[in-house]
This record gives sequence, structure tokens and C-alpha cells, in this order.
Amino acid sequence: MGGWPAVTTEQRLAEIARALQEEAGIDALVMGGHAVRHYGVERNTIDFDFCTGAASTDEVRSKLALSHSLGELPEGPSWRPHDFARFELGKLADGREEWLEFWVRNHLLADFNQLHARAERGTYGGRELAFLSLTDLLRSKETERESDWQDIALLEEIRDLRHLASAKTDARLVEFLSSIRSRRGFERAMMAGAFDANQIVRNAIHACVHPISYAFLVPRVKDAIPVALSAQLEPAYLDRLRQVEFGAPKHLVLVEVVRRAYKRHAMELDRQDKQRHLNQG
Amino acid sequence: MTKQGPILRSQDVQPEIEQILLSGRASTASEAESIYLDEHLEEIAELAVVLNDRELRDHEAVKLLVSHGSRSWEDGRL
Repeated sequence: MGGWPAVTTEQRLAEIARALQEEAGIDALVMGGHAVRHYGVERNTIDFDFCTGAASTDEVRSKLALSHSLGELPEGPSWRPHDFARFELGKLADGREEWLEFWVRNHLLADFNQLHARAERGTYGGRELAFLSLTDLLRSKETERESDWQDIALLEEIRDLRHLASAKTDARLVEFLSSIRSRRGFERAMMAGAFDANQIVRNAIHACVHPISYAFLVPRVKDAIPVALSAQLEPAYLDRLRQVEFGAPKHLVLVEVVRRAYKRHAMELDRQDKQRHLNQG
Repeated sequence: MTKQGPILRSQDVQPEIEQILLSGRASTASEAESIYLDEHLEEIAELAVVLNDRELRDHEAVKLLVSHGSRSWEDGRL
């Protein structure tokens, strides 16, 4: 159409990332739908989402203007104008807008230098691109939107299976167990005998950050305690987890209760954050 | 009955979900199920203590929780 060669959405992202890097001088990591695709979830997306090391959205605007291949892009509305900017790339055949979106500060994520240090590089759309790490991508999706939690469910499985595949040393095994989040990851770990060694599980509990990971492990070594969880595991749930048999149906039900409670709390936090910004607006 | 109060009854689960839907609090069945789960989470946790494994597997609230949760390798397995 229009005489232009057809490109896939992945190729389009790769070309945009090239233009940002080489023409605009914007240091950015791919996040959002394309990052989800990179990690193996088949998912449609028409937006191009990045987090960037720019100091401000003004800096993003001025640098973007330097890109001759992206051209002058009309800016769209943002409910967090100091943290997030979006620019219209064009319209698809069905009339929907294509958006190029930048997070300068995301309330769910660490600062860009930390994100960059943990970034994963991979070939996508024919180029090597830098993506938010899987752990950071999971965190970025803890929003009030149900669709983001559907992505989380699949990404958790992928991360667990990646960790299990690389758990060839005690240190890697501890890393895997301490971050386990999916039922499938847990079941595969059981089949592999990953929980057999008490000290390994104890060390994993010490290193747990996420309450779901702790909920998976605690019935196995009941007196072990994490150094620091990102969110509290409700004492009532923890008491019950210490009473049940490891890996039994009761254990798995309680893990799902913890999962649901975490999700409910995270959605509410995101809602409150959004409301604060709308009130300030 | 537990120390905290009556146990969540399996046969009450679907009627309550239907009521959530009919009242307009939810626009889809999945949304109504989510509302139900969020409103009864502590009671479901209590079921894990008071019921045996077979009763737990057969309880409609537990089946709902598991269906909305992380996937097992086998469908419907608890």
C-alpha cells in the first residue's frame, strides 16, 4: 500500500529503536507488548513502548525532533505529563492510531540505570534490541488493568522455566526457588527434586522477595524467614501455610489465595497512584 | 461452623455470582467471579484448614479460585 515495502510489527519496532538510538540519541529499553512478545508470549500490540534514561519528557520531545526518519510526530494526551509522553506514529488501515510511548519515570520500576544494568538483549525484527529484564517487565505490569495480569501469569511461567533450566549449581537453584511464582514452575521443580535439600530451601526462603514465592516455600521449612519481602504476607495466611503439608492441595489453594490477595492489593495501589495524579492534574 | 463463623457453602457460590451479575456490579461472568473471589478470599483460606482434600477439591469456591489462578500442567488439577 502506498508503494512502501510491507514490514512486520517487529521490524517496525526495530526500525523505531534504531532511529531513537542513532538519530535521536535516546537511550531506551523496549517494554510493553513487544517486550512480552520477545519473551515468548504470542500477543498482538499496535503500540511501541519504551522506558528511557531521559531526564524529562521535555528532553524526549527535543531529542525526538532530531530524528529525520521518525519526522514530526503529533503528541497525544498523557495523564502523567511529567513521567510519560506519547506520540502518534500514524494510523492503521482500520483507523486506529499507532502510538510511540515513553516512560521517563514509572512508579512501578527502579531508575533507568538499574533497569539498564539488568536489561536483556535479543534479536527482534532483524536487529539486536535491549528489553526490560523479565523481572522488571513483570513488575511493570502490576497495574489496575486485568489484561496486564494475564500477561503476568504467562511471563511468570516463562521465567520459572528459564530459571529451572539454568539451575545447575546450588546458587542458581536457590535463585530459582526464591523467585518461583507459577504453579507450573512449582510442579516442575517438584518433579526435578529441587526441594529435597533443606538448606537449599532455607537459603531460598531467606532470599525471597515476593510473597507468592514465600508462600510456595514456607510449608517445606516452616521456621525460615525472608530477609525482606516486597509486600507483606498476611499473618493469617502465613499461619495456615505453616500448618499444611508441602505440595498438598491445601498448600496450593493457599498459594492461590496469596496470589489473589497480592493482585488485589497491587491493583488498588495502582488505582490510587493514578487517582493522585488525576487529582493533581 | 468455624470459630470465625459459618463455612462458605459450595452450593451458594454460583447463585451469589449470578446475583453479582444481575445486580449490575459486573458486566461479564469473569468479572462477577473476580468480585466474588475478592470478597470471599479470607473464607476460602479458612476452607483450606477445615476441609479435607476431597472436600476442598470439590468446593465450588476453590474450583473458582484455581481456575482464576496460575495454571497447572494438567487442566482442572488441584
